[in-house]
Amino acid sequence: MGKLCQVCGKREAKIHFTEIREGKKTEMHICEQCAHEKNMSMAFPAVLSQLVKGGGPPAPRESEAVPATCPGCGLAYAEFKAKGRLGCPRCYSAFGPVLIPLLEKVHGASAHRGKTPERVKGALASRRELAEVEEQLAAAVANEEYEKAAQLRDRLREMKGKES
Amino acid sequence: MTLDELIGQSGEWLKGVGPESDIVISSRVRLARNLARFPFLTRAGEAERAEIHLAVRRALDKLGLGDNGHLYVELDGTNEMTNRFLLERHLISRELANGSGDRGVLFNRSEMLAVMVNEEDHLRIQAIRAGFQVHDAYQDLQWLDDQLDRELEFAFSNEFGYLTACPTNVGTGMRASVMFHLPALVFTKQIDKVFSSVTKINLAVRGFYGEGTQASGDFYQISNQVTLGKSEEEILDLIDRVVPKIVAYERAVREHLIDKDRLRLEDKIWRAFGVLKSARSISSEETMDLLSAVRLGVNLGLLSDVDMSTVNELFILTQPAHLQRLEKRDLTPGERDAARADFIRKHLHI
Repeated sequence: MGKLCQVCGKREAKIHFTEIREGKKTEMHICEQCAHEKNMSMAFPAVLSQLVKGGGPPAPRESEAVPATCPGCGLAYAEFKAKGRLGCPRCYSAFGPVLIPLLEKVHGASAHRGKTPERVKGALASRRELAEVEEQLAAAVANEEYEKAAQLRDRLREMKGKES
Repeated sequence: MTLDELIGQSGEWLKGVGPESDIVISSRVRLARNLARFPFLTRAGEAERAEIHLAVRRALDKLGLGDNGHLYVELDGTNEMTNRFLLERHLISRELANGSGDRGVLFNRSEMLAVMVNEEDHLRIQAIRAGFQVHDAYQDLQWLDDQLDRELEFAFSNEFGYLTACPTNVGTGMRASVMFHLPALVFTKQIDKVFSSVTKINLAVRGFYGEGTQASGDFYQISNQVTLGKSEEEILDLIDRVVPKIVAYERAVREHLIDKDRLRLEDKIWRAFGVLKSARSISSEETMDLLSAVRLGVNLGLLSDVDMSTVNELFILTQPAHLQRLEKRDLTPGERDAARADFIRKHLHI
C-alpha cells in the first residue's frame, strides 16, 4: 500500500499532486473519496477543485500540476527538488512542465541546439522521408492518379518494413 | 600498460608545451553521456550499476583509444591510495574517487583521453591538451564520442539533447575548461577582477582540482556553465574569446612587475627557489606556493636553471599519493614532508 490519504488518514491516497507556484512547492496525497467530499477547497483552491470537478478553465502554465513521481523510475518530484538529480531519461518528459522553467533559469534556454547522435539523425531523416511519401500518396489519390498511388503505396510499405 | 609505469612521469599535457603555455596549462573538454535503457545512477540498483559498467566496458574494450596502450582501472575494491593517485593526476574526479560501487576509468598512455564510468553519469568522456587548444581537445573528444555512439545507445531527446542526471549538464553535456597559472594577478591582488568579470558572462571559476577545491599554486580553471541552448562550437567560441583576454591581462601585469617592482619580484622567485632546493621537510601547500613563484621565474627568463616541464611535473608528483606510490608504502604526514623535500631537491639538483 502506498501513502495514506492526508485528509482521512485511513484510505490509500490515489491522487498525488505537486504544485509549484513562484518557486514554492506543495505536495498533497489524498484518496478519491475525500477529494470529492472536501472538494479540496482548502489546499489547492484552483487547480485541484477544477480537476476533481472535471471542469473549469485549464490551470495557467506556472501552476501546472506535474505527476508526483516519474513513471519511468518512480522518482518522486520532491526527491529531485531535494537532491537536484533526476532518476532516469524519462524524468525529463515526466517533469517537463516544471523542469522547463528551471532549465530556462540555469541555461537561459530550454531547447537543445547542439550535436545529435548519428543514430537519431538517421531515424529523423527516415521519418521525414516517410511523411513526404505519405503526403505524395494522399495527393495522388486526391488527383485520381491511381497508378502513381499504387507505386507510392508499395514504396511506403517497403519503407515501413525496413523501419520495423 | 600498468599503473606503476606512470609513477615517475606525468601526462603529456603537463609537458609545458602548446600555445600560451606560459599561462595556460591545459585545455580540457568533457562530455556527459548516459545509456538510454538504464536509469541514472542515483536510481540504479547494484545489479543495474554492474550491468551499465559491463556494457560500457565492452564498448571500450572493442574500440580502445587509438594509442599505443591504454589502461582500465576498476575502482571498486582498489585501495584509497590508487583513487587518490588517479585524482592527483587529473584522470578522475573527486566524485569518482570518493564514490562507491562498480565504477572505473579508462585512459590512454599519453593520458590525453579518459573515460570515467559510473561517475555522476554513466560516462564522462574527457580529452585534454597542453596549452590553449580547446578546439583540438574537442576534436579528440568528438572522435571518441562518435565511436562510442556506434556501440552504445545514449539517452537523447530532440528537445533537451543528451540527458544527464543533473539538469545543469543537459543538452550538449559538455564542459570545456581551461587551466591558467596566474601568479602575477594573484601577487598584485587583481585576480578578483578577473573572477567577477568572468562570472558575469556565465563562466565558472574553480581551483586546481576542479569543483569545490581551493585554488593552490595560483592555478585557476575557467569553464562554461551553460550546456543547453548553445551548440558545442558556440560554447567553445565563448571560451576562445575569453582566454586571450585573461592571458593578456596576466602578461601585462607581469611586464608591469618587471618594470616597476623587479627587486621584490626577483626576491620572491629566488627565495622560493632557494627554499625548494634546500628544504629537508616541506608541506604540500608550501610546495605549491613556492613552485608557483619558480614557474613564474622560469617563464620570465629570470630563472634559467630549471625547465618548464620539470616545474610542471613537480606540481603533480609531489602530491601525497604520488610520493607514497613512489616510496611503495604508506607514509605519515611527517614522513611525507621529508620525502617531498628529498624528491624536490633531487629534481632541482643542478
